Amino acid sequence: MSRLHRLLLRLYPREFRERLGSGMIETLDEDQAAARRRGPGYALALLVRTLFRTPLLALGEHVHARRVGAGRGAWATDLRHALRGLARAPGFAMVTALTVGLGVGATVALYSVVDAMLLRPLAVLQPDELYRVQEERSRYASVGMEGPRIPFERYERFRDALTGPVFSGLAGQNNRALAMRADGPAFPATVVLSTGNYFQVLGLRPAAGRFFTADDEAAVVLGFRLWQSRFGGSTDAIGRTVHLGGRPFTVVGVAPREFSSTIGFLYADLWVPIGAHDGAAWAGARIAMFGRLADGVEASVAAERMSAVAKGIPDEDDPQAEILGARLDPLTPTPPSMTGPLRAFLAMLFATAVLVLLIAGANVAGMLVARAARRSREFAVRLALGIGRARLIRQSLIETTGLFALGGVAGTGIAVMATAALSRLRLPIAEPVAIEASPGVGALGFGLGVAILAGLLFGWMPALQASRSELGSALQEGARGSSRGGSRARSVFVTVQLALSAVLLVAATLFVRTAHRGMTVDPGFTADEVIVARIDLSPHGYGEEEGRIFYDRLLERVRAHPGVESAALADLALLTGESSNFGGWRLRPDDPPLQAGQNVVDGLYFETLRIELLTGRAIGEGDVEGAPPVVVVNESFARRFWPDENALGKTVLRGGEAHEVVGIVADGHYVEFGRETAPFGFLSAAQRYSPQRTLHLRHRPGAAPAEVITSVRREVQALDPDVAVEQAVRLTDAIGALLFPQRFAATLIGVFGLLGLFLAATGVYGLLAHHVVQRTREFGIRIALGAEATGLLGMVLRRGALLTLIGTAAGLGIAAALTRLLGGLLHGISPFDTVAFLGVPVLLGLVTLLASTLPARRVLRLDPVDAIRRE
Amino acid sequence: MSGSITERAEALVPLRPPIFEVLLTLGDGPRHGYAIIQALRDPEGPGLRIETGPLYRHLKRLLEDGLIGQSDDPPSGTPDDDRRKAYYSLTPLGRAVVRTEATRLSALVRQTERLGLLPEALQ
Repeated sequence: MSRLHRLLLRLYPREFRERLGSGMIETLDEDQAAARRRGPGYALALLVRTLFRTPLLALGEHVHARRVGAGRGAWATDLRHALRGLARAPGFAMVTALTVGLGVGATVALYSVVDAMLLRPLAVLQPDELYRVQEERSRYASVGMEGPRIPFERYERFRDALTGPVFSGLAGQNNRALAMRADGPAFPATVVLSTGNYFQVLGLRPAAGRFFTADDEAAVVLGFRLWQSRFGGSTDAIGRTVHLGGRPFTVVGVAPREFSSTIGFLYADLWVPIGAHDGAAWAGARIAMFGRLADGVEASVAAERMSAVAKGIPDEDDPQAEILGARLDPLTPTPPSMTGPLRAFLAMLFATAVLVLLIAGANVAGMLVARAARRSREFAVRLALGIGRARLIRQSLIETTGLFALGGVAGTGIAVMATAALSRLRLPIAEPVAIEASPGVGALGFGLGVAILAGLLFGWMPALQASRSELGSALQEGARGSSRGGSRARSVFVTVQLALSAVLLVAATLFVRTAHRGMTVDPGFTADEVIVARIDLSPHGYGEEEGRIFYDRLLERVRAHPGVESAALADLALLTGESSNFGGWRLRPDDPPLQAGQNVVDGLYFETLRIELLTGRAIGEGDVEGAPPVVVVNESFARRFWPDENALGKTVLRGGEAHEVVGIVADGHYVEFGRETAPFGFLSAAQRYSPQRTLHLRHRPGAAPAEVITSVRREVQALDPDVAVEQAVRLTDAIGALLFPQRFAATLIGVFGLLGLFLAATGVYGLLAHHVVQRTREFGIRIALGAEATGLLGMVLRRGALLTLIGTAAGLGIAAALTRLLGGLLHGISPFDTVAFLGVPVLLGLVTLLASTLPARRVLRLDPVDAIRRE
Repeated sequence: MSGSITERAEALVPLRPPIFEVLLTLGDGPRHGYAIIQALRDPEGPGLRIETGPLYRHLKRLLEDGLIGQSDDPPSGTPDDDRRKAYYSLTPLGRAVVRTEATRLSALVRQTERLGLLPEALQ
């Protein structure tokens, strides 16, 4: 690491290095070491910040050094010269800056998203002292998004034993959706049940009012957004009463705007003290812990101390679980369970944005090489007048870097617009997730840094090109400009653009195909005209008996609605990403369990979803509690358990209970759009009560879905005003949400790919146009000597075709090596999909053919006399 | 550079808040770079999240203006195995600037108090 820091320091002016360098390297090393002790995430974040911030700071020092006057003259002159050069060609400057801007914009926008999701710490006091705290056990009774949860009493034991010597504060929380009512109908709110010291441990200050403490009984704190949207952001909200699970609470304060919850992208609506209202619906809720380390305590030491305490508290809750120890992880905004997949997905998108930047850079480099070739006479004269080659290279680099920096400014503008559009995007999932990715100072610095790095990277070739100008040949070649070398360099740049575009287009095609397959594949049920509505009675104090009555009456009411054809209850909606409880099924008690999906459904379910019953019967009216348990299985299930026999009438064990197979339904995709269908079993809802159900409605073809959804909400309201419908959507929309990452990737990479293709096409066009102009005289002579114009046309087209061939072949090769990494995201589409790998070259071929035809046609119009005379 | 120390100090205020905080961390003796960062990050103190690069930009300006000095001698009492390459300390001009700035700020606080704008906790 020290070597890297030393390298970075070389960017600073010599005077700065000599005076402060050794101290600064030492400090960088120490800070990096401290971050590493806190965790790899912190170390990486610091490293990234250092990498991108240092060049800018160093640049600032260079500017400062000039201003102070150390080496006034040379640099300032060069800078002026470069600016003058650009001002002379404003159109060129604008086109190149915009091209770079598109590439930089793409990278900065993606960087902002990565920063918001993975890098930025929580907006709390000293986030590096905060840790997720958990026991390590052989099994967990409950795991939430915020971590494994333990009973409140157990938390109290930890808190009392560890506060002071180990933690300056230990808090607990439980995130869940609860129906909330202020004025008007109840709506689902994201609620954080929290211990009284929650805000104090985080070190937050309220935006209005106060936070609750351990003594508060029925107080709630509003989330900033809810305060704005439902209470108009007025301080009158303080003191108002809201209802949660049918019980009144007083609003005492508002959380600060920049704090969403301890999960960065989950915007909490409400914080409630977990001890509030004995007998509240969430009485006995388990909590996940986090704490702030006491001064000077290392996380590893804290984990040891906690481990000792954990082993000393008997677990009455789950005596069979073995307590192995304790662990502390930094309280990062993204929960550890999600970091992996999210990181992979974002890394992929970020990589594609970098490809766009490379394409843009190569495109601009091609233009710069052409420009350098046109200016070879100017360079030659200046070299002859005694300017050093090094100086010429430096001037050229300054010009290019300035151009790219301009592009960086344009790019950050583009990124600001892109991320604003992104945060308006409503993700089609139940949780109120928001990507707040407006580029911060870090992202803007990143953009400029990237632009300048790209300028240095792509500026070398044109700079060297300029410095190679020879006076004699440059003057001889005259106004045409010079140099086969320049044209060769441009060919390389064009080929690179074509190759990278091919990679992007292949990836985009794969995602488009995946999303398309999801929309067209037959899932084995008919989702059209089905509405699903999720309802949870558990926070509302319903016992099993009342719950059954509630659902019976609800079904009765919605079935009476004229727009409704049929209605059924199930535990979950298929193909929507809801975990389908892949549990263990056995034939005999001693068998190893077989994994198969499960849903709990009532009698009209198969009819409502139009799942075809092959043999036997569906779940019936008689399959109630007390009657023998039954199961309806799909074909895959039957094949898996009874390969050569008729499954009907057989029994299978689930949760230790024997279930008789009474019916077999056709196979379908219930969990994901894989190539194969999974085994699946349907149990009787009447035999397995759950307070949480998903209402399935098939509406008549003429009925408007929105109206049906409204009437469902109204019927629920009529039965109990405190119960909210958590989510009521068309099943097709919910299924579409399962493929959201793929559709997002398809759109984004598709746009990137088309952008790349467009740039590559302009590259081909520019190169061939230049080529034709350069050889005008030669072509004129050939025609005068009797050559066919079409033959010459062929020469030009062949040149374009050769570039396309090489570029596309290289691109497909790279793509074949990379698409394998996408496997997990491509449901049912091979990473070597023939459509993608054949379609993309065809598309590239057509577009480049078009781009080469335009300049080639000039050859046909060539007047030999005019061409030969031209100088 | 001319005039008495006080005059030169007058010319250098007001200080930008982070600069003032950096100078204050050196108030009780010389520190090395990372120790300054730690002092600045201290939640009981300024609670400033500053990183190495920006800190050294400040240090460079402070050195140029003669408010701090740099030395490779650790403060007495530093164990041999805990030596750093560079330590920074206030110069007499630096001390004068801190005093001048503090005087300026306390005058502002007194004025705030006269206007009755000071929160009760601070009175």
